[in-house]
Amino acid sequence: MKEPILSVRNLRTYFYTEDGIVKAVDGVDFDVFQGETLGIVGESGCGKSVTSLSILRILDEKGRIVEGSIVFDNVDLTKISEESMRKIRGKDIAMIFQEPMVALNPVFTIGEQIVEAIVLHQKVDETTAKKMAVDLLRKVGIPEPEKRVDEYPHELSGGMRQRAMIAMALSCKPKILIADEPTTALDVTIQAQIMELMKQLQREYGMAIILITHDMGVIAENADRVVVMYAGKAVEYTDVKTLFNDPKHPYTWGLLHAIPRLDIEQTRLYNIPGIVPNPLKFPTGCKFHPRCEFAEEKCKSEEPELKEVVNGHLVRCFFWEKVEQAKKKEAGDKQ
Amino acid sequence: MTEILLSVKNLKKYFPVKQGFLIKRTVAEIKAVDDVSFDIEKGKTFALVGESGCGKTTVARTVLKLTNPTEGQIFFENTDISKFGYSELLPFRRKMQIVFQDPMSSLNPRMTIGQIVTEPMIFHKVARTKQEAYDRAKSLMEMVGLKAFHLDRYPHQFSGGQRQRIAIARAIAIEPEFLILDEPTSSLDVSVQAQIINLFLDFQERFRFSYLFISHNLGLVRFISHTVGIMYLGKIVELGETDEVFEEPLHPYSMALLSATPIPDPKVERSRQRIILKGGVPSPISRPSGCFFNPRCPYKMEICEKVYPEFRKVSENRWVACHLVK
Ligand SMILES: Nc1ncnc2c1ncn2[C@@H]1O[C@H](COP(=O)(O)OP(=O)(O)OP(=O)(O)O)[C@@H](O)[C@H]1O
Ligand SMILES: Nc1ncnc2c1ncn2[C@@H]1O[C@H](COP(=O)(O)OP(=O)(O)OP(=O)(O)O)[C@@H](O)[C@H]1O
Ligand SMILES: [Mg+2]
Ligand SMILES: [Mg+2]
Repeated sequence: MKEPILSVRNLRTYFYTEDGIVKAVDGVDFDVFQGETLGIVGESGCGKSVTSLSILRILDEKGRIVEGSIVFDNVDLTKISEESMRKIRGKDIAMIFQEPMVALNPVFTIGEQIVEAIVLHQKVDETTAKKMAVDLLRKVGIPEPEKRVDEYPHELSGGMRQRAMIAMALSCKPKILIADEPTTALDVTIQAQIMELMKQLQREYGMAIILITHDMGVIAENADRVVVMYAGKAVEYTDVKTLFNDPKHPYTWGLLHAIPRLDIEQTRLYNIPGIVPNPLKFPTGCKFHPRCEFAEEKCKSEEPELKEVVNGHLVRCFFWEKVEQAKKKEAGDKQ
Repeated sequence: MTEILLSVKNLKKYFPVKQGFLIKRTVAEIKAVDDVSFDIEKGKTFALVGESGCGKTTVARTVLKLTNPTEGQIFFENTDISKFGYSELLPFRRKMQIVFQDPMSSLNPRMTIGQIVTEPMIFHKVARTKQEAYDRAKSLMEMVGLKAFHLDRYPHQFSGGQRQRIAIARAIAIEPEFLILDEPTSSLDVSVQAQIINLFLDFQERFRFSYLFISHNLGLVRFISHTVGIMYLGKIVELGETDEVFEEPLHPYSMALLSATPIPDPKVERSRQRIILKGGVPSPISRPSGCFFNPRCPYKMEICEKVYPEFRKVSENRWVACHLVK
């Protein structure tokens, strides 16, 4: 059996705001293996970014990990000192942020920022670091990197800023790369190029990737395993092929229906009825029940657990078998 | 009868590239937008697509006069606003809004969401009182899938997709006739994206809003836009009705771009043929001579290295800049 490089168990991260407790992450489990890509998908606000901020322990002052463990290289990151954590951040575990301007400092050129990251964790002088920076910028597909390296973030296009940040995250060859919507601002060609670069690093030295995205196309193409999150909880966890061919949670099933496609003509986009629940006042029982077409009385009062329903396929739903029937019916209708 | 809301003619925007340690000298120019023309009809959506860095956001910023064009005209409701100053622009500002690509950098971190969303309503006198603005803000929050109590919070307390929706709420607060959407749903999952896109469609149906829609998500572009312009290194290389361009792209770059989109189905996806472009991504600082696309073009001819092809009308609704197309 392979050993995971990162194991997250029953993670719960809450924000203690004036209005009450925001249960941003409330029960998330997954494993990340060396050289593999774990995808995290789920609706806006379901806790994907807070999960990754928890792994790196960079929550704002109101946020706290209240339960669970995050085991990396046999140490529980929730228990170690801030100083030990600082050595891991950026070096062993690096992150690509959803919004590049959060990670980039507007008053320094992108070259200065990448050089700083390199010099901080590697024993090289600044001239070498600058060469490495230019090289990285070339690898992420920025044309004429010798000129671009001296530009400020605002002088770059949105996609270039995103790639500059990717270059910075990759500069120290992390063991785990957390990529939070890494290619949202990129066109498909460069998106493919970036994903290829990440895969190459994966093959070369076994980097593991946590890929957070709402783009099911990107997941289909790049992930090995996938966690589906809903309202702070992992609701389904399995390998990528099974997820697309045989989703078992009603939410996942709905999610796969809402994708706009190039190869099919549509007049209106399907969306899951109802809205994402308020994290200050989650519904009782299963958090998805108010929007679920399969829900029964039981779902309103009892909370299902994340359970293995078939080999390696974990689902948090009492009535996942109903989804099976619906899928069969749908397949029948198509014929 | 078609009614043109916005007409952009020969728009150019160049940025100087400076180098030097103490004395910065201009060593080159980035022709971010180079002779771009297009029209947007009232109640319709025009989409701009193309590789990262090809100039889409710069077109958007220049059209709204957030930065001055180097050359060219921008007709909004038949008035050329390209040389207007602050006060002349004011009446137009109320009619056009933009949702920026990077919401974090466009939301003031020290203002609450309530202040952010009500400010334009008060400034443009769309709401008479603070209370009225606040009430509207509440319903706007619901429209974009957020809650009224969110109005008291600050931008950093939201998820990326929630911030994007706050930017959308602010932009639609004053019911602008013309809305530029620069990757408006890039941080949204498919389900919330559907809700937001359907909201844009409702506005269009009810109030005849016009949109300039910028996105890398070609599935979405096909779904939402009526006409589309495909940009390459600062120029539009193909323009036409969206369905027609997607069914039968004429420019080799359009063909490659459309074939590269992943299809969200691992079975189809891993067995499909794609045109992968050869050669490095060109730089807008030193563009190739002749047609800018020639070093990567599978159909390159001799003339393509020498002459930039004229952007011309090739059929009823189609303009293309390519020597190949008759
Ligand atoms: N600093 C904070 N203070 C209070 N609430 C917060 C804070 N950061 C995040 N939240 C809340 O926690 C929930 C989860 O946020 P998170 O950023 O993890 O969502 P996400 O899944 O990444 O969504 P998206 O796809 O929109 O980026 C959201 O409801 C958000 O409003
Ligand atoms: N303020 C500026 N100063 C200097 N150069 C700029 C400035 N703004 C944009 N540029 C340059 O203009 C070119 C076009 O940038 P623009 O942001 O319009 O691209 P884009 O098509 O929106 O790309 P993306 O899809 O990555 O957002 C880029 O080469 C960029 O570096
Ligand atoms: Mg997020
Ligand atoms: Mg842009």
